[in-house]
Parts: sequence; structure tokens; C-alpha cells
Amino acid sequence: MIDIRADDIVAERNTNDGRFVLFTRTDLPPRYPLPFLGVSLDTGGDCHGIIVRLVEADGAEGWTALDLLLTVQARAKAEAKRRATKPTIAMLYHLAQAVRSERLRRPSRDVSGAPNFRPGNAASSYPWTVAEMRERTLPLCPDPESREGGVTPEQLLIVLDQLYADVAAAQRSNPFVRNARLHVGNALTCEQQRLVELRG
Amino acid sequence: MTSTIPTSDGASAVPPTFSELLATYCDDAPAPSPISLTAILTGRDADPMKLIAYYRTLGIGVTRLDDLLLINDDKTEEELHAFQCAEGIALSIASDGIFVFFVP
Repeated sequence: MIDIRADDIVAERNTNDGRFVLFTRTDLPPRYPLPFLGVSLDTGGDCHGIIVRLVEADGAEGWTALDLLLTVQARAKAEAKRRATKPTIAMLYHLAQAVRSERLRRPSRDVSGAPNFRPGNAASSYPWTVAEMRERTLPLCPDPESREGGVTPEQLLIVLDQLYADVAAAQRSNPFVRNARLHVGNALTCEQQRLVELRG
Repeated sequence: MTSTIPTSDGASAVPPTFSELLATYCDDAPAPSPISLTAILTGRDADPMKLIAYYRTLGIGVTRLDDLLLINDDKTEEELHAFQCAEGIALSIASDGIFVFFVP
């Protein structure tokens, strides 16, 4: 069971196979650029919570949009190495466009390191399953079909899709936000298509 | 290793033309100009993205077009993937999300 007050849930989304992604405003700081601070991710029988921020300067310790983009991009690269299918190659195109837009959108003095990636405990088709950023960890599903325990790439793309939808609502004229949102949405569609083809 | 677009029954299709490949994988990506491998190897043209030099750092000496496909056998290389096309070899560059197209 996860302990979240219903009033704190600002958005609830699900993957196509029913894993939840809950966006919460518990402890949301004043003037935070997003309507949510935490995201609870269904890991298939358990739950993994992350703090999400737009950029480092937002103050909260957590995963920035760029951190999450680089993580899902790295997983897509590993998947393309395993099996270079149409949805994965197309997803890499859209993620590259989203990363480029996000880098252009960020304040120039904003500094971000790149996440580190390492193997987890479970056997996996991929060389790594755990993303680390400033001592925060994000355990990803070890299997290409995203059926086993861990956060799925589809969930991360849903987090990013929600983040950019919320940012776009506040910054309607920002072309980098619009472009990142468009390509994250397309990448999400590609990932869902990849799963449909893989799961049969 | 030859990489072509997998069909639903798992068999490999006839290599697509480059424009077909581009339309299949990312229909709104800009089409790059073909790069002549011969022109690079003879020094007539520069290696525009230093890809042939990069292959060399991985221990792959590129002397003919099909050598570009050997990148697919490198288990640690996730940035580049080579696709056989009717007219040449297309390389996808993961971080940039683009294709580079080599012809003889």
C-alpha cells in the first residue's frame, strides 16, 4: 500500500497495461514551476517515488526534466542495440529532438550532470537497469517487454508528457517547450507501439 | 551483420531504398545528402562527421561500404546502428536521432 492522501493527487495516469503514475503535491514548495512535486510509480507490485523538478534551481532534490529525458534516451539506445526496430529508432529521433529543445530551454547558467547507469540485481537484456543521479536511484524494468519489477520507460515518458503539458500551459509562447512537448508525446506513442509489437 | 527492416514474421525484407528507410523510421526527419565513401577514402572529400575515423578507434578499418555494417556486431556501441539500403548504408546516430547515408 502507498500512503498518499487523495487530496494530494493532482493527476493520475496509467500505462497501457495499467501501471499507475500518480502526480502528487505533498510538500509542494511555494512558487514551484510545476503543479506536482512527487511522482509515485507502480513498479509491478510495489511503488517507487521520485521528486521531479524542472531544473536544478527549483531547489528540491530530485530528477530534472533533462535527467529523465537522458535516462529514457539511454534505455532507448540500449533497446536499439538489442533490437533496432522501427518504433525504437523513431523514438530515438523524437528523444533527440526533445533533449535538444530541453537544453535550449534551460537557463544558460543552469548546470546539470548526466545520470549514471549501472546494472541492478535482476538479470537483464540490457547492460544497465539502474539510473543514478545525485544519490537518487531509479530502478528500471530489466526486461524489454516491461512486465517485470521496476519503473518502465513508458512511465518515464508519461511523467515527461505530464511535465511538459503543465509547463506548456504556463509558457504558451515558449517554442522550446512546445517542441519538447511534441516530441515527448511522439516518443511515448513510439514506446507504446514498441510494446504492442513486442508483446504480440 | 545485415540489418534490414524486420517483417512481422521475423524474415528480413529486401533492403529498402534510403528514402523508404527514412520514411519508415522517422517520417518527419530531414533527409541528409549522400556521402561518398570512395571520396572520403581517396581524400577527395573530408570525413564530415569523422565517422570513418571513429570506426577506426573501435578497431574497424573501413575500406568498403559493407564494413560500415560491422558496427552492429560491437556489443558496446550504442550510438551507431547501420542499416543496409538499396543504394548504400545508412547509419543512425542515437544521440542526435539522425541518419547519415553512405554511398559507394
